Amino acid sequence: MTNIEKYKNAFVEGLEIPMEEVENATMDSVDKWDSIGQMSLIAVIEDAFGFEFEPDEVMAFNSYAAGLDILKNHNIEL
Amino acid sequence: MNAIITGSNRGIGKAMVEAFAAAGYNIWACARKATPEYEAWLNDTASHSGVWIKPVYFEMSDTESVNNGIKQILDENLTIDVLVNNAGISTVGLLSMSKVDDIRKLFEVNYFAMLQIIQKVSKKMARQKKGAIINMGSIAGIEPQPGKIAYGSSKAAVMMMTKCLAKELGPMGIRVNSIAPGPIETEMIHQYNDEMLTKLASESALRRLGKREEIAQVALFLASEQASYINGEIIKVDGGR
Repeated sequence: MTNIEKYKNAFVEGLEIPMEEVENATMDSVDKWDSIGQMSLIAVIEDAFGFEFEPDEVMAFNSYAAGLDILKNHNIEL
Repeated sequence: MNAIITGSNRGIGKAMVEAFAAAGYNIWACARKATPEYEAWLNDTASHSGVWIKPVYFEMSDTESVNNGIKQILDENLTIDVLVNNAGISTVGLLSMSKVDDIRKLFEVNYFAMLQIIQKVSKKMARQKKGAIINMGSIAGIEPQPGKIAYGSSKAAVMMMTKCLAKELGPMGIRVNSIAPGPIETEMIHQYNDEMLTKLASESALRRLGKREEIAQVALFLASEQASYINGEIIKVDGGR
């Protein structure tokens, strides 16, 4: 599984949304992406990629695209 | 069931290790430094109760040390059912006789290190969708007293932290509660003279100081399924004041 597939799967698993909705997912557009969904999503991503979100990254993580930037900052190739 | 207990090498923390082990909990027993007596006692307690007890050493006033200690626990990838934040330091001193830097250090240990540990461990508990966190408050954080500006304020902060986190973490299945002990017979209380100890005992309706075990049993209850609907509470254990 590629890193981008792992990242997309995290949204399917963590937020329980269909794969086709993942790329457009934002905190505002996904009902389940509230503070609880956020923790669940981050937990799946941390497990998948083996790093820990810093508090400012948790705050910045409000969309699929924002998460890609965070992964890049942790030197994860996408 | 697995539990983390901080400040487990003396006083109430020691009683908690004994109570949790007797109840069948495996324990990460956190303390500042290793001593042969401490490790021998942990081994004896573990073998007597048929559980494992692993010592974990870190310095509460050092952020990096706390991180390393908690990482050591998290790296084991075991379920963490209970976190007992018991470690703390106590001082008595009027404001005019206190250095702000000393008060800051006390807050570092009593409040910020606790928050740091919860931040790490609650993530793990959120993944489990279950956990119980017990933070040691104090009656000193409820009843204002001269000389308790530092300790009392830090414990008041801990108890408000407990209430806020109960709201924040409750939806993830994590319960957060505090115990607010009155004066308890521990090493910490020997900072008072006999006259003061008599006065402290007389302030309780039971006319005595509390025992360490009486606090440990409340922690054990709060950790258990019997307390499954108790969240965000401060349980005063003070003999009635």
